Amino acid sequence: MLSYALRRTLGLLPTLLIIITLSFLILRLAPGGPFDQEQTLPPAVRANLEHLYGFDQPLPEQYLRYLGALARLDFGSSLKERDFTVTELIRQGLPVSAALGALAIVLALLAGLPAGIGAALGRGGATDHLTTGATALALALPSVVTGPLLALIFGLTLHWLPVGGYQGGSLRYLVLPALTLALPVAAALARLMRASLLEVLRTPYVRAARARGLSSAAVLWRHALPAALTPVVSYLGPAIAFVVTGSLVVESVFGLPGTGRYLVQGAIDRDYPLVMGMIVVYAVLTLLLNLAVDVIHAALEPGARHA
Amino acid sequence: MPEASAAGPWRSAAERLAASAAARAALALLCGLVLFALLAPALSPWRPDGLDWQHLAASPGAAGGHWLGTDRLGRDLLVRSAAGLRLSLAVSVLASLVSLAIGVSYGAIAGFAGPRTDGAMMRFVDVLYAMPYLFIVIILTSLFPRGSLTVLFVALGAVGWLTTARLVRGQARALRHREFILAARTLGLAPAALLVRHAVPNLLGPVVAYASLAVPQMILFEGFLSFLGLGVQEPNASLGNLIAQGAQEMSSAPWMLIVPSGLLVLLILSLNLLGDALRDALDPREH
Amino acid sequence: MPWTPVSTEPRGPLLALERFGVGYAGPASFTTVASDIDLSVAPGECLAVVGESGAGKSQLFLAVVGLLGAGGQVWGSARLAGRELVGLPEAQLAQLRGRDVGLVFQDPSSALTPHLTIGTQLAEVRRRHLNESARAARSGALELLEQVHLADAARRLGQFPHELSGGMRQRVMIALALAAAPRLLIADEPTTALDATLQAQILALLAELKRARGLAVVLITHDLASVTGLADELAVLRAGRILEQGRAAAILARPREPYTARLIASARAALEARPPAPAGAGAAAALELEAVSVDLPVNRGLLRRPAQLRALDAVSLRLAEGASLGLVGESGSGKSTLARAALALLKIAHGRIVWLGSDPGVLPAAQLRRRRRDLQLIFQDPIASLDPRRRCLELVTEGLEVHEPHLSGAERHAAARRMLARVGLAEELERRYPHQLSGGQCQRVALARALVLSPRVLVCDEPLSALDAATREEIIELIATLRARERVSLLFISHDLAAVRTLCQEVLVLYLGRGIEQAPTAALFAQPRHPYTRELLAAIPALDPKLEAARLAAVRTGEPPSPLAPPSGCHYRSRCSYAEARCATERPPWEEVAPQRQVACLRWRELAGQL
Repeated sequence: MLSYALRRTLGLLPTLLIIITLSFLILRLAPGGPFDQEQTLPPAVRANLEHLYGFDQPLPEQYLRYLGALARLDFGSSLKERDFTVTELIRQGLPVSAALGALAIVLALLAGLPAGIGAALGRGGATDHLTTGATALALALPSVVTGPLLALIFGLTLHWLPVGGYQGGSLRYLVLPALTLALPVAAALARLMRASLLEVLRTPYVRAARARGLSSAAVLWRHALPAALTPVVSYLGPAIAFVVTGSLVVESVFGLPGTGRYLVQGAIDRDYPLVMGMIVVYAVLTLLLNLAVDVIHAALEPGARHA
Repeated sequence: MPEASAAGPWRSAAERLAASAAARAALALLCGLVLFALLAPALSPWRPDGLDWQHLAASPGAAGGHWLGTDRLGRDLLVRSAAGLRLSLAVSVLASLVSLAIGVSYGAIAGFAGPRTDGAMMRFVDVLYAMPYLFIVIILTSLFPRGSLTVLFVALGAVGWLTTARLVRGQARALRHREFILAARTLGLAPAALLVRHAVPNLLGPVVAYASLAVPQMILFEGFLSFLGLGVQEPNASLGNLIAQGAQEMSSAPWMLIVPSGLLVLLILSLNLLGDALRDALDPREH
Repeated sequence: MPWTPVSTEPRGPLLALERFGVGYAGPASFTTVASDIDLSVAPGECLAVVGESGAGKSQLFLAVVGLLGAGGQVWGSARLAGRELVGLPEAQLAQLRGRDVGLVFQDPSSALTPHLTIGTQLAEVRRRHLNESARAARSGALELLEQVHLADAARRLGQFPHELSGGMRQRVMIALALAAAPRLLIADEPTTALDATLQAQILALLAELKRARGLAVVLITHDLASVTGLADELAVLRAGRILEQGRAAAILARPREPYTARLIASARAALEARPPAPAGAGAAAALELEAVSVDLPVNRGLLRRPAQLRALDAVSLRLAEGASLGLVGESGSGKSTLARAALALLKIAHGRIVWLGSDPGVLPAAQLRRRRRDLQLIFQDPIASLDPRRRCLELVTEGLEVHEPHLSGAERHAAARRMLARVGLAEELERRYPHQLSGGQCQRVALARALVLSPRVLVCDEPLSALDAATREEIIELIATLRARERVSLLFISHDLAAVRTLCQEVLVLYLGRGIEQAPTAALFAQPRHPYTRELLAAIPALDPKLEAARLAAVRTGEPPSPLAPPSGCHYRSRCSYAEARCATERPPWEEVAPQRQVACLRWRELAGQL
């Protein structure tokens, strides 16, 4: 298992390289440059700036220099916030975004899985219909709507939780944003869990387990659930991707100082080092998380066929 | 043992769909929304970009014929929302169709190809998956004049096909070893004929169900892009940018948020319910 | 009401069904599965319930223990050791299952929970019903595995179901059913999914358990022949009702109902059939395999690279024009691989294939596809071999569209209809979809599809395994008729020796990917030259209860070795009673021992008289 994990991790490097290369190319080849937005610079000043940052050199050279810097974990400095290195900016924003994402996933799992199990067990009954209706609604609400709505109810009206901002990094500021993010994910998890469990409960081996006189609890927890979790685990990959992109909106709605704005604003501003830095961080995270999901998959399913 | 009816798989699926109350309700809601989107502009005296200086940010009511109120610039919200609904729906459906077409072809070919071709094709998909998608969209939007529908269209279609391709490829791999596919080979069918005649019809079930959920995802994503200022631009209206404007005016003119949000929610709800019913109808094991 | 244990001193029958009935409430109507059932099982005796698929046999006994699906209903009386089961609440029924009644299901590969080890599943049952501690349960589990003669029991405890072969899994299923020492065992088609040799072993095991523990057994099956050695009582079920019942020996000797007589006669006919006479040597070869070897990749889970399995190892065969050759072997012998390799559906590692004189391997793709019409294949699972989204008529015309494009649509339809009539498919079924037909009907459609192209060679890959006994006989007859009429050469692959005997002039026996004996059928059955052939022949059930009982008592346990790690030298030596030292080092050559007879055994000369 360990060697498998190691082998897969090493296998990620070529993928990472391709992503970096493609992003680099797209970013550089797109029209517009980092100095366009500022007040019109005299050409000489502009030429100087470009020379300073090495933008006048041939592209392959810039690329190789960038790779070299990456190998030293040097992401360079932001072109817009020139006092800060990209590493510092990321270090400021990443904990917030990461905490938000993690909390959202945890909340989604805590809410979605039991709901799905309950719906499956009470198939056709009130719980089932209620869950189906609630999840349908939750999946239809975009975060741009739920965010302000939750802020309105829990913040402005009930005064239970803060409406936005992130003073002192207390967790209370993350609750509403995480809830907003978690809602659609919880709904999707509930549906998936329900469908998967229903299917597993129909299998011959579950019937055989019941035929042995095992208690319904034992049949559910030992025999049915572990098998039913497989598609749910598969879904974690796309769920994480959703949380990462969704956090952009949520951060903006709740005014959280996360990394989301770096990507959007950086791309618009052509802040090359910042955007590339974000891309590398994002790519590494995604690849590692997907790998983790695969490993969990393999552990849950002994003898899984890999066509 | 043999049944009396001679209905084929598609026909019995259609029958099951028609029998489901949820499907009928969803379909009715969807038709209602589409009718609203098409007819409202014709029935109202206001145009989507028509400015009514006398009723700026008016609340819903009959004042000046603005049944759902107006926005900051005095534009009638009912007509604008209908226009927004039309645009969102049109773009999403088209983008879904394109991404489906690409995804199904790609996935079917990869699923039936030899291990090397399949490996290469899916590795390509994996890499694209790991790319920060949003970033590409941002760059793309700057390659074209702001607010161009083409780029929105391309951007939406570009993300959908990846998941479809993966889904179809998985189905195709499973299908490939089934005996009736092997039987078609022994009959001497050429690979292309085999794919089109036997593989794709048997793959379509899950794909259709997935497609019905893809459209709402597209709509949400378009809304998301417009909210960030990257999608449809003023003075065009899409549900996304209407919601973005409404979010800014939430405390002072809540109807600006509620109207487009409400429409969005109803649209997605009906599509999701319809998709669920489709999936149940196409899976005969449920019955 | 507190649970009361079943009394340990039963008087009268252990299980008694009286006017018992089972049905399902559907959305629109009510379907009666079985009704008016009067049955009883005495302690320590075996009741065999025989009937076609769909007759309601399994549902009947599932209903007794309360395992019916949604909408199922039960009426009448069912008493277990005097205790009424109908109307008992689910909680009490659950306690009864496993503790008083053990169940064994048909398909061992899907009835074991895939993510739990064998040991866990066994220990779980013991702890549940016998309240044992974890350690006691574990040693109890080990004991159980030894009682069902599972080789290497201690190691198996820690393994997962997919690591075991089909026969082993069935033994585990039996161990699970007996884990809490019930008095009654209900076995639903326990051997249908297994090869003849394994079938014999499992039946022998059941016989032994019945004797040793005084176990009462209900054996549900569609195959009359398999139960003759085990059954004390026999009940014949047809369309949900009991047609005939009584002591097994009496019914077998003197059946009262014509249906029962037919069942017995067809089982007997299969055993006593006279094989067709072999063709003389000299006819040209329709299909030839010259020392063909095939390697297949085998997945060993996500974590390991796939291994290469030598599925076929230098196998040679020759099918003359107009002749019929049977190919026999257990699962894992490579029969299906051979069928696919012979039709160039697989890559060959070594050797050569010859189709009607020429080598398909050198043909360009388009030409190869055109030649395919000459060799057609019938599959094991008839429903799966037909595209579920096409109607029967379309399935048959498709081949004509490819190979005879000059025909008009009407001409194609006419040709297809003629062929469907010839295979005995009623005309009104031609517009049906495969899932609306029975297995036998689907197999007819498959035959029509193959024969409409007028092939020269017809390869049948286990065409009867998925069918029940009555249908099997019909299809065998059909194939025999069609072969004569259409004049095709037949390569008939099966693990069922009885079917091969009826249809084939010659037989080739495979074991673990190697040919081990080939002979004209009559000669093979009368005088096998290889110990494995002898073992196969011994696995054929006789219809005489006394003979059967003796045969079962003589069955030895012998699992086929894993194809991934076959024994060195002669593959069969690990199961062979005549193995010597040199059998481990030398591979037996495929040699001609008589005109038209070949054997691969190092000791064939010495064993000639003994087998």
